[in-house]
Amino acid sequence: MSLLSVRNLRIYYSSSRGIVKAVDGVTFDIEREETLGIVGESGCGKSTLAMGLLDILPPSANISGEIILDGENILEKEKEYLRKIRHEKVALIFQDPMTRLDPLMKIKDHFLETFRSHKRDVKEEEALRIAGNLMNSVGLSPEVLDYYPHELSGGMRQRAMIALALVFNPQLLIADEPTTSLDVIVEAQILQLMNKIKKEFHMSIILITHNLGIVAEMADRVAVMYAGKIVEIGSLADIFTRPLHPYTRGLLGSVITLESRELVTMPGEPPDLINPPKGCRFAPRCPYAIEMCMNSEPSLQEAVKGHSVACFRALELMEERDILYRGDIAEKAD
Amino acid sequence: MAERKGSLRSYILSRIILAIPMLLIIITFVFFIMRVAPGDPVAAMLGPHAPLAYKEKLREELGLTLPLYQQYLNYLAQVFTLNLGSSLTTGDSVATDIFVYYFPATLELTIFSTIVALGVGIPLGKIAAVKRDKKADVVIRLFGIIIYALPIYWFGFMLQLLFGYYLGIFPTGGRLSPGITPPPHITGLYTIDSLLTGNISTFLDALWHLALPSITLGLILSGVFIRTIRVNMLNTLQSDYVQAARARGVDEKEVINRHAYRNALVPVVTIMGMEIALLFAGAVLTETTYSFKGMGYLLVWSIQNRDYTMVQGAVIVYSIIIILFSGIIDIINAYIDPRIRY
Amino acid sequence: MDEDNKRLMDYIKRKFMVNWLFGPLFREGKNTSAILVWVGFFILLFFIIIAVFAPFIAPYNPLKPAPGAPSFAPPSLKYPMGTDLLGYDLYSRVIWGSRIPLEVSALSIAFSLIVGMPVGLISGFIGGKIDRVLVMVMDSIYAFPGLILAIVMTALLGPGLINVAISIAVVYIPLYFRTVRNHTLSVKQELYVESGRAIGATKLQLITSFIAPNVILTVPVLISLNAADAILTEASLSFLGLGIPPLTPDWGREISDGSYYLQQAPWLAFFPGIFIVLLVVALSLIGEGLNDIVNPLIKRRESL
Repeated sequence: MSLLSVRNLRIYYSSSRGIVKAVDGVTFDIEREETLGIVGESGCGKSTLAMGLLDILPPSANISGEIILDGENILEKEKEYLRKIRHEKVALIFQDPMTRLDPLMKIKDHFLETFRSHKRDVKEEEALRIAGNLMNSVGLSPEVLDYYPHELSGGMRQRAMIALALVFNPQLLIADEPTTSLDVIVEAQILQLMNKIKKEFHMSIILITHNLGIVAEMADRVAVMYAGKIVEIGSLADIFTRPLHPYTRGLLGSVITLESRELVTMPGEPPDLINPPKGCRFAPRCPYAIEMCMNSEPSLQEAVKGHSVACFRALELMEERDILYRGDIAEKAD
Repeated sequence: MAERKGSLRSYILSRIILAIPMLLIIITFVFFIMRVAPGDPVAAMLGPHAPLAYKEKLREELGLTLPLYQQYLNYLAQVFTLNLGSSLTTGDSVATDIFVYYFPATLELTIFSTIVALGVGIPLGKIAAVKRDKKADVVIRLFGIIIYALPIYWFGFMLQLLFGYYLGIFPTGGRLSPGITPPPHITGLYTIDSLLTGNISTFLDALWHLALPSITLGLILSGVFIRTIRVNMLNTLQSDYVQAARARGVDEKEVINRHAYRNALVPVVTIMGMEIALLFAGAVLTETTYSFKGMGYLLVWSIQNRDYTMVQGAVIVYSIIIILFSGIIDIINAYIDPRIRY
Repeated sequence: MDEDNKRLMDYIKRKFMVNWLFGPLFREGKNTSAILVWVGFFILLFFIIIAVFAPFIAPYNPLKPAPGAPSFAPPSLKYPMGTDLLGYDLYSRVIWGSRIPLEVSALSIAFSLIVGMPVGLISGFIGGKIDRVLVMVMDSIYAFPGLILAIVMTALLGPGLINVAISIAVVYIPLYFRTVRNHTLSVKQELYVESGRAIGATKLQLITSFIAPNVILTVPVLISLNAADAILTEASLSFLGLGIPPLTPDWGREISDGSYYLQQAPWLAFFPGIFIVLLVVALSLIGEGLNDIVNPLIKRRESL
């Protein structure tokens, strides 16, 4: 049984302009001790998905579908159960560690508060001892517990956030763009740290990012999101060497390669999530779109074992792969 | 950590240095209004039909015949030695009158009013934010708008009418009941002095007389706090750290009280700083309404009785108090919120 | 400056002032801020009508006792707000009394605008030492309790409508100065002002055709927020017996006069106060509503 199975998850926001379909029918599984990378451009619904998995969405959001954790659909459970799940089984770390810690509370108070909310019987000294050990394992001195957030650097804060996430040894760590606001050297350190703690704590990780380089370094499997949907999901090798969806190819083409040293960009913009196009959401930007793509929506189908894609022309294109790979979209951009 | 204390000390120092030119500017502005701007203080004092010789004599007495720069220097000397001359009506020393009798009364009133304003404004603002756009929010916001629109004296009279005349719960004026002797002068604040001398019945009587004036002024000022706390808390409720706390499975009650509420309270001290002017202006009207013998009462009385030196003295003391208080508030603020100093 | 720039300025004026300021008021759909503004606006209109047509609305001469009226008559059909000791009809006095507050606050706002706005514009535009000194002076005045300043000034200037208006204006000049100056600073940085400089507009032209029209955007909000305060200040001065000559019908003075008979005839203090509260609430609603509508627009534009 998978650790977490998400089935047909929909998250709609009501706004003054209409309903924003931020996440629209997302389905995926994550196994134990596996790292799943979720990639996509900003605004594709990645972060909403992360918050949806913990059900901490703002009141304007409406969530439906199934989130099955350890065999239980958590969306059917009462609030208190959900609250316990958060952090004890699934922990979340965020993009911007600068603003995620309460400025008026010392680091240690964040730990103590978390213990208080989940395990009342743990004594303060015991909690502080655990916190100190965790600080050691994320490479911070336990003295940092006595600091206020504004006294720490960005990298230190993210380390502290990770230590905080490990308090109850969760089975799943969701990391939403964990290194985006950090500089490159700190980014490498944090990624290394995440790999280390993953092994130490036997966790699964969902790594949400727009950065393909990070995915390549960290992930076992990769899901590609576009406009609220997963358009392709497969193993790291599959996605990087045999991408099937034209959008994935475009994304891979967007990476600066050593040979060309120039950034190839995709033409067009992601669609408006209030009025998405009728057919395939990528069709207006897709170099291979045919009439069918404009009218009906492709569903996520397994093309090869363990590699699914939502594209009518995937099989056709797979055969032409050698010719089309990477060069095609660049051509179109000219 | 020693470094942090050092930066606080330098902040306080720079704040004090800033206060000096501000005080000079206000003091000069007061001089300008009272001596240079159109409007003859002597005529204002004696009325238009006073004999000319009389006017000249008074002018001489007040030093108004000297050249302007000399008047200004005399004036500055007066301010910095706090030798504010003597009252034209009673002959008492202006400085003694103000600092011994009138200022402590105003201080007492403003302290109790601030307690009422905070005690009403903060919880209401919090409720409004938590119940955003629900009935409670709408009612509280409306209360905030209307209470701020009330003329203080009118609101005071209505409270006098209700609690004083109809219900007979509170006295409608004065600082103590007739027949009760004021406590020996230590601070000038009757509540504190009576407590210090262990005179409980005088303490209760002073408190009883403070009730209506403080409620009047406090409620009117609470509107500002309701508004700011509500807005601040709406912001903190949507802040990243609140979302992060929810993601950690922190109890919703703790999320609201510990994270959202505490952070929303940080700017309260700043608002209090901005409210000081409003507080003292409001105190003038409240004191007049309740015949509460504070500085505002003194100011209006002196104007009505054409006591020029007393008016000038009161305005100078007001300037000093305002600068002093806003400086103190800034320093408290820097102490509470470490981020200010960075 | 050539034609194109004039057209650009016209466009900005039309687009930003008319549309952005008043557009949301007419837009359909649920918009609480717009409703607030409308409610406030109609109450204000009501008071303006009362003030203008006072001679036709008031049943009795406010300056003479109503013929045959008893003293301290409680409110009735004949005397809707009762009568005072000498048999003056309070209703007539309150109707006439709406004139002074409206006139004085309009005048005082005009005075403080005339002084505060150009000084703020120039100070913000020039910058440097002059700006810093002006800001310091204005901030210091602003820190001082406005009412106390107004009380002292009216006492020295003596009674009279203009004198009261001047006293109140002095209190609010720093407010206009500050807002206009800060806005000037931010507008100064904007691209189209830079382009104006590039096509060789003189400093005066820059201020009058590029900066001022944009800065003026903030003024309506400021005025409506400030008007509520000005009404309260005027009423407070009259309550204290300053400024407005005795016997003139004026709300603040009516409250003060009525307060002596609070037990015998509570209506005398009650009704004028209700009128003050209504007018101040109306102006606050306009101010708050406009603020909600205009502020995000201005912010949005500045971020463009």
